[in-house]
Amino acid sequence: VRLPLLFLLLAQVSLAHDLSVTEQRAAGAVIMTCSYSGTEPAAYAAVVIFGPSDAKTEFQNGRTDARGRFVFLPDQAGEWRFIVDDELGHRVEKRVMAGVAASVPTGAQPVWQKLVLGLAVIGGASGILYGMKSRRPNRPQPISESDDRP
Amino acid sequence: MHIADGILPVGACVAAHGIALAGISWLGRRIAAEEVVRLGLISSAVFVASTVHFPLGGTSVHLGLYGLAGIILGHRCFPVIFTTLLFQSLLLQHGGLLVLGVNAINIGCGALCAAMVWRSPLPDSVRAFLAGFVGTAIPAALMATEFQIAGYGRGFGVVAMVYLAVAAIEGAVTTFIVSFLRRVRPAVLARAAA
Repeated sequence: VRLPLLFLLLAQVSLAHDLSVTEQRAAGAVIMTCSYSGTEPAAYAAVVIFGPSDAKTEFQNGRTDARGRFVFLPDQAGEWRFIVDDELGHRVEKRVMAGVAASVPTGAQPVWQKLVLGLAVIGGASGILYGMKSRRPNRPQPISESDDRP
Repeated sequence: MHIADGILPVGACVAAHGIALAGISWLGRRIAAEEVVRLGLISSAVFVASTVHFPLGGTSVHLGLYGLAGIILGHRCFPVIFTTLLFQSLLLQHGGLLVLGVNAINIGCGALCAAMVWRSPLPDSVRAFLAGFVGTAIPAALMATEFQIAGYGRGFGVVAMVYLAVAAIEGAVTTFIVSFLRRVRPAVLARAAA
């Protein structure tokens, strides 16, 4: 009687640790949340992602965060393969249909503006240095005899 | 080529700043007014060249024109390299401010070696190529050695391989610019050789 009970208990434990993945979308990004039975987050689990056009080369790899989340930005529409493995025997492969994520504006200053600014500063600094170097000291001028005559 | 902050130890960076500032005060003393325009122009050229990027060996590299700076400016290239690196760090985020002294020593040594190569009695095209080559190869070798000592990066071999290719491109670009200057304004090169 005890042996079947033990198997039943182990099965319950196994079920309780089933790795599951849910997906959400935000601004074109795909947020995958990995958890054990939807309650305990699968933190720091290894993730690999393959795009629709290349089944052999990884599009992205990494690890889930402390809350079991992993975010990626698809660059083409189609079916994406998301594989998560906690390296302790739990592994899930999930297929995700996704469109192209919109590019996120970085808000960075354009390079040409930085270039113009840099050139202006270098030019200005050179001008100041030139002005300082070309300024001759005031020496007393020799007085010629012709100047003394009225 | 431009090392970022947080890779090398702080003590080494501070010491490098001291050495670089000593180098500037020694090699930048008694600058004549006539030299200033040339210093400013080469500084601008080096500043702009660093924005010409191309992918190589799984990373992104850019032109430097450090060899050309050595050819045209001679020993004055060192203060110019330091100043240009300062602006590149502040405006383009190329390299860190704390590590600026290390970058200036690495690249400045390359430019000074290029100046010495340019004084050799070789044909113009050969010494221009070699000056452009060492202007990048020496900073790369110094950087790879520093990475090796700091225990950082993909290893000396990988860094050396990537930057040897960049040095060859720099050599070709420098040869082209020198031949252009020889035809258009040879006085610049004649003054540099003097």
